[in-house]
Amino acid sequence: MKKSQLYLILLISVLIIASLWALYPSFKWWGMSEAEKQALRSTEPQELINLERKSMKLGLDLQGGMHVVLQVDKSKLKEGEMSDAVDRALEIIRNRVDQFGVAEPLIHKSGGDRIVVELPGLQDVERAQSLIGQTAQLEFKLLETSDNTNSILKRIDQVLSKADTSSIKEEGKAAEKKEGEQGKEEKGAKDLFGESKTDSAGDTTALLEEEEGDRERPFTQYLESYERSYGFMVLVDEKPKVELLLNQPQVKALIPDDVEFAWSTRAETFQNQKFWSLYLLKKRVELSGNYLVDAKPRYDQFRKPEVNFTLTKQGGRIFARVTGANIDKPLAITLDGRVESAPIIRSKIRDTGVIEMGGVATIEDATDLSIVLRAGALPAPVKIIENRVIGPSLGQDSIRKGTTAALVGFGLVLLFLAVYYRLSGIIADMSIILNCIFLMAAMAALRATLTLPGIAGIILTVGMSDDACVLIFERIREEMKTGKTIRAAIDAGYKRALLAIIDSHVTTLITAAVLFQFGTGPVKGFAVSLSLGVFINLFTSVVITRLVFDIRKEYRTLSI
Amino acid sequence: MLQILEKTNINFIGKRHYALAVSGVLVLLGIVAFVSIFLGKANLGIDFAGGTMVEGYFEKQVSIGDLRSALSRNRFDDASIQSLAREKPNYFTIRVKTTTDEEVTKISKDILSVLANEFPDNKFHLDSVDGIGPAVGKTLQKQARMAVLLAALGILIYIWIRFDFRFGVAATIATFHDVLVVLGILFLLHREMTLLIITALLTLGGYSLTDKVVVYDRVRENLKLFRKKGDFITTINTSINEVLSRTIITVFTTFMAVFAIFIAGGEVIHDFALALLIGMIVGTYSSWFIASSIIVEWEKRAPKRFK
Repeated sequence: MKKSQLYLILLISVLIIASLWALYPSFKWWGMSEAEKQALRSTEPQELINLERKSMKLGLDLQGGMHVVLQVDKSKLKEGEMSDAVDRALEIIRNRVDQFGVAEPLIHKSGGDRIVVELPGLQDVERAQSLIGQTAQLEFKLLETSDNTNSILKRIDQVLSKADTSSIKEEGKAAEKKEGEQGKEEKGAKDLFGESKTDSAGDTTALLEEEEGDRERPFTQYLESYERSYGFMVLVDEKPKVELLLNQPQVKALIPDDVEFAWSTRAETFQNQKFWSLYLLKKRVELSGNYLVDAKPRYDQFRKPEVNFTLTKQGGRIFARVTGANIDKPLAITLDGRVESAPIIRSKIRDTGVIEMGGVATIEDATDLSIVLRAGALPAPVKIIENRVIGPSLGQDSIRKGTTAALVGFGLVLLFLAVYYRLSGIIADMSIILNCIFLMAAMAALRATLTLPGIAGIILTVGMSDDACVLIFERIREEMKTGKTIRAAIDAGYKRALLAIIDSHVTTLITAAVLFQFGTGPVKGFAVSLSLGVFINLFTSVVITRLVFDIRKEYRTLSI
Repeated sequence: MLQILEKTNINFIGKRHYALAVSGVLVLLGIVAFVSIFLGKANLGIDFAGGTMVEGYFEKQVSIGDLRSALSRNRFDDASIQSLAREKPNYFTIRVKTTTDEEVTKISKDILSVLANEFPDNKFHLDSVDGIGPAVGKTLQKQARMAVLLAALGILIYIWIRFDFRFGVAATIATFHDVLVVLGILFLLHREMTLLIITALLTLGGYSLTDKVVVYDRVRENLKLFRKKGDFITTINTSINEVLSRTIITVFTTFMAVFAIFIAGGEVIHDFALALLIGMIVGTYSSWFIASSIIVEWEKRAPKRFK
């Protein structure tokens, strides 16, 4: 055979070996059972990670995981700040996700104001969503003095007892329905409380009517002070009433400009009662989270979770000044407007401090808080506008079914070709098999993601490579019928068919390119599989089969 | 050698009037489908309509009626519930429209907590959640339209370059015809319109085009040979007949492959495979009867010797 043919065979052999080598990690990874993975994780974790990294990337629809799109709220930003804000938000979210510890997160910008976050293999979706979604604005504020607080509360009582309660009742009815749903959501989402159903979060308006007995203190009757802090306890059931009253315009007008009411982040349990804490804070931010340099979750001496934070030098100076001037007074630490804790300052604090998280918080809560504090506050709030979660069992199910279908389809095509075109058909089969191997190796090497439609794309590629072979063979048959010699028939067949093959491949590539550009996730995976498949197909269907035929040209009969 | 078709001589072009009539009806159906989708009256997946979809299965038996009333009692009175026959029994898809600007995660959490509350001793295993805010749905619609437009343009230009303007236009029209007809049929079968279906439509557009390209290729070749004879219609007929063998075999084998997906590939890509299957049949039909007929009709009204 000619030298060029020899080189070509050598090239193909090298490609085959390279492909198999590139695919080996994937097969090994897929072949390992969960138990084997566990075992390897404990003995040689690094090797496991490397193995996973080298094997083919699976899309969310095959692995399970979470895909969210966040929209940056631009209402509070100025004109030019938008794109910068989105970039910063992206970095911050990336930081948070990195610390959360997901294997291969995908985070990128989309459109002018959207951020796409994909976390494959994620189990704890709710935790991830709250981690990503919070603004995480940390602020230190002082509380209003007791005297001032008490006088404000008294005035609120006075104003309300004189007020016309009927309008309040109207509002109450409207707010009730909303509260009722909120109440259920809180219960469903965090079933830690385990209490019996709260129906309609207390019949707000009805109770407002009932308790006319305490018309002296329509507001403060719900507030109870307790020793441990300067905040007021409000029973869970009564929180909506308090909020309703606080929202009354007469009450709002009473509150001075330099203070504001703020709720605690969580409800606590004390002596079998569940309650929220309400604080009256000075609006002024004494220190913001920008000065935080580190935050770590810890257990305090009572085995309760807390967060230890460290400030920058400058932050330390400010903090020292504030704490020094306010000994024995409480300092509220707020996160996104809710009070995490309000400890009493015992001594001047320089640059480290503690955020106590209260009884119901878990070490996970402390960890998550540390993560968002370390990563920083988002420049603007974000909202989740698209949320897709695939459970892992659905993913595995899809893999299984997709692979079965692919193999079956594959088998049928191979069989048909072998039967219809006999030996040439078998050559065609070989080229199709090589096509698939090269395709999968290319995807593994390029770290392309395999999705369920991607598997369909591979099957379509099989269809296309089969098409190319059929085009060539049919042409050869035709040429042979016109009486050409075998050699001439083969030559003519390839020549004529080549143009049509190129045309069909280019048109498919056009649609694949469009899909790649406009598609997301699974659709992109499909476009990638298809495009790669088409390219590789040009090589296998035309070059490789040609090679084989060339070698066999010398024969007198052609099995086709 | 094994040969399915011996030399055929079917008068494709001759039958074009019937074909064009049938196609006319189907294309009309497709346009109706398209308009309905636009107006939101078709079975739109939440990709386009926005909304939240929760899929999963209960451990114990639940009737659809109970599920529906449970959701109605708790604010989800417009929930659309489907019982799916999957491997696990008691499998349901719950779909809710998003009309407000609420955070989409909240809606899915609400649904799950309603299920937990209403069926306390019957655990619901979540398989997947899709929550799309209304803004996103519109964006996806826009993107899908852009994609279709760009693909059509790309095809037109490429065929124009490779063959001839008229071929280009005819190919584009035929491809549009294919996509619209498949859309119409899917609409008739009340299939859900999702991004994946759009993908299938675009793919079959590209794929059916290759069929037309193969025919055109042969037509061009034959026209060169028959230039002197100048019988346009016969040339085209012959061309189509010549490639008949190849067309049938290719379609047959690819059909088998996609059929495997249709049967065994699972729910998620089931409709995708269906669209492709229908598309392949329609595409072949249009390669034979429509694509070249357009050129013939055009030639009749505005004769121009092809080179």
